[in-house]
Amino acid sequence: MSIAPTSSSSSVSPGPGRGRRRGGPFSRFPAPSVIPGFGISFGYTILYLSIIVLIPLGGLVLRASGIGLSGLWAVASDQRVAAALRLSFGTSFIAAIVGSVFGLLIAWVLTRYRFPGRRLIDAAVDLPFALPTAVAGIALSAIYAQNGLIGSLFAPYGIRIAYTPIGIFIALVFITIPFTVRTVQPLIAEIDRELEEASATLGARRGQTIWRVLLPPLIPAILTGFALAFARAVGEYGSVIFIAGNLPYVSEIAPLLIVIKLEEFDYTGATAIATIMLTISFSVLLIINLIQAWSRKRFGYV
Amino acid sequence: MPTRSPAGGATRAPGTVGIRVEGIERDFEGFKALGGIDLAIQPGELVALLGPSGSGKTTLLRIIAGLEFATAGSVFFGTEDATHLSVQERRVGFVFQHYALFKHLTVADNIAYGLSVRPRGERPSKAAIKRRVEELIDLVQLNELGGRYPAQLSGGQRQRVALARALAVEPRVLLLDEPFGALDAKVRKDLRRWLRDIHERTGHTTVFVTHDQDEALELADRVAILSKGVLEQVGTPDDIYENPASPFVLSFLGDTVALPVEVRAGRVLLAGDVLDVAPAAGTTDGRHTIYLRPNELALSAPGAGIPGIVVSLRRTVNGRRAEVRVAFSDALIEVEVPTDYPLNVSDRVGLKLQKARLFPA
Repeated sequence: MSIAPTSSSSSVSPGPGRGRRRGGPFSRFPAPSVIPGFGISFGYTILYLSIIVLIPLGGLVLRASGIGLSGLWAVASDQRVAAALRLSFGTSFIAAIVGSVFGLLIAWVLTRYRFPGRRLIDAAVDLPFALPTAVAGIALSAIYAQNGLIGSLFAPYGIRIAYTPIGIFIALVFITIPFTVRTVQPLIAEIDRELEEASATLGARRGQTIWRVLLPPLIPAILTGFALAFARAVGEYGSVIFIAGNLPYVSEIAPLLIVIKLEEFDYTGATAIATIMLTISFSVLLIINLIQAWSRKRFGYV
Repeated sequence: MPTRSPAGGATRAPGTVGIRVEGIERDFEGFKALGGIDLAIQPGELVALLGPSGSGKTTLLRIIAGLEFATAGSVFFGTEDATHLSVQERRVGFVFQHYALFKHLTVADNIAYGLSVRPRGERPSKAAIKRRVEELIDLVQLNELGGRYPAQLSGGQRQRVALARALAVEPRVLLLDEPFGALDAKVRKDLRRWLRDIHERTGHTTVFVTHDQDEALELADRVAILSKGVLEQVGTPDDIYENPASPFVLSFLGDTVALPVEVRAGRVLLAGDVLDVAPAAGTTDGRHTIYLRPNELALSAPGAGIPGIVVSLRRTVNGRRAEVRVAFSDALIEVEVPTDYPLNVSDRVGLKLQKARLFPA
């Protein structure tokens, strides 16, 4: 995709976030303007971020760096740690994907159609946000346990849900529902009816219209929802430990392993796992952000 | 595929058909948006649906397109009854006021869209689609812009893309809903000429909706004027301008001056004075109104024509506008006055009617 500079008199508006970038590094800061307060608000932002986010994380990395890169690698390649990391990131990834698909569906139904009980369902979407995660964990494990309402349906076929990675997956899907729904909902609401009509007059069938006209502009928002859901799922602790069963090597998530290390007074081990999680999470979010920036350019022109 | 004329590679649409609507009615929850519209449009004709907002002109266009359905009545494309065909089956080209371009697709992909969504059997090859797109980009004069996204184009350019996209599917008729409504005056004028030109080159039966009288008169072969869901008049621009069928048509097509008069025994009386106007044969006695254009009124020395007194004088773009109170009546009449005509406020003048149309009050 190339955006060639134009010589015609057409008005070309720069895309969002593509401000002028000329001269030295300081020219990126805004010049004094009629909108005052850049200095103080920027300073406060940096201070706030430092105290709340950067300094604690820096301390964590500092603490872990006591064992060196080789020490970090040794912790990461420990069978139990590796299994826990794989489980945490793997289930989070799948949960975020599944959540994105169904979140999109829920958002679509809630936004595009009017039906009795719509507001109730809309409110229910936020419940996972509002509930203490432990409540979610207890509720889910009660239902999905072998003698529970749903778990008992699967038990005869030898399928266990609670106390296995499947249970973890279900807990993660549960707590991430609001992210994907709420990020795409406003965009679905904004879909211009005329786009659908234009597509229809050009001979496109309903499915083609949805797939080729309506969905592509939603992709950046879907990715945002996915990233939020993934980040939340990786960090989830409360709801998962109730339903996971926490068997080492099988259903033990990385955050739990950190707690276990802490209870064993293995502070270095705990911070090492934490640092590894930090690194992976950061990389994943960075990659998603890059994809997003690309997709925004590709699909998000407004 | 349409046959190509050698010059310019432009297309001539052989598949284009006439449109006939019969007794089209449309109710919106008790409100009658259209009350029985009959209209026949010849193949290759360019017709404007003109009316104020709320007159039902857009609804009629959307019913022809199949985007909305009539409560009663039929739509024919040529001899085929299209009343119950879906939008997709009608094969119309539709251009929206706000372009409705697909923002995530380039200009070329937007134009190719209609061809690329065809079922596999009917879909032209990739190369054929590409050729057709290039032809259309050429036709609408958007060369070099095929790789751009809609957001990178000006309003006028976007509307050209929208038209090219509509033409790409070789529509049987072309329907445009206020195509220039969102553009500024200068671009509007340019695009008008351009649309006329495209129409002459492609020859599609074209219906466009507008609330701009100038646009309708200048562009269309025939103009259909709607008001409150009813067709007031259909005719050539000259016809409807010179011989308006109703006071509504008259006043909608330009400034008018109205004089309340009375017809008594074949004579027209204004506040008791006999006017030099002959009513048409069969005009009933009673209260009537004379309508005329401001430029059909001439100022003269007092004593000739209707006596009046100048109430105010205002500068306008073209000259001056005098407000004249007609003697023995409260009617205020606006008259265009050349800048060099000697005239002051409270001067006595005479008004000569150069043309007068009499309608029952």
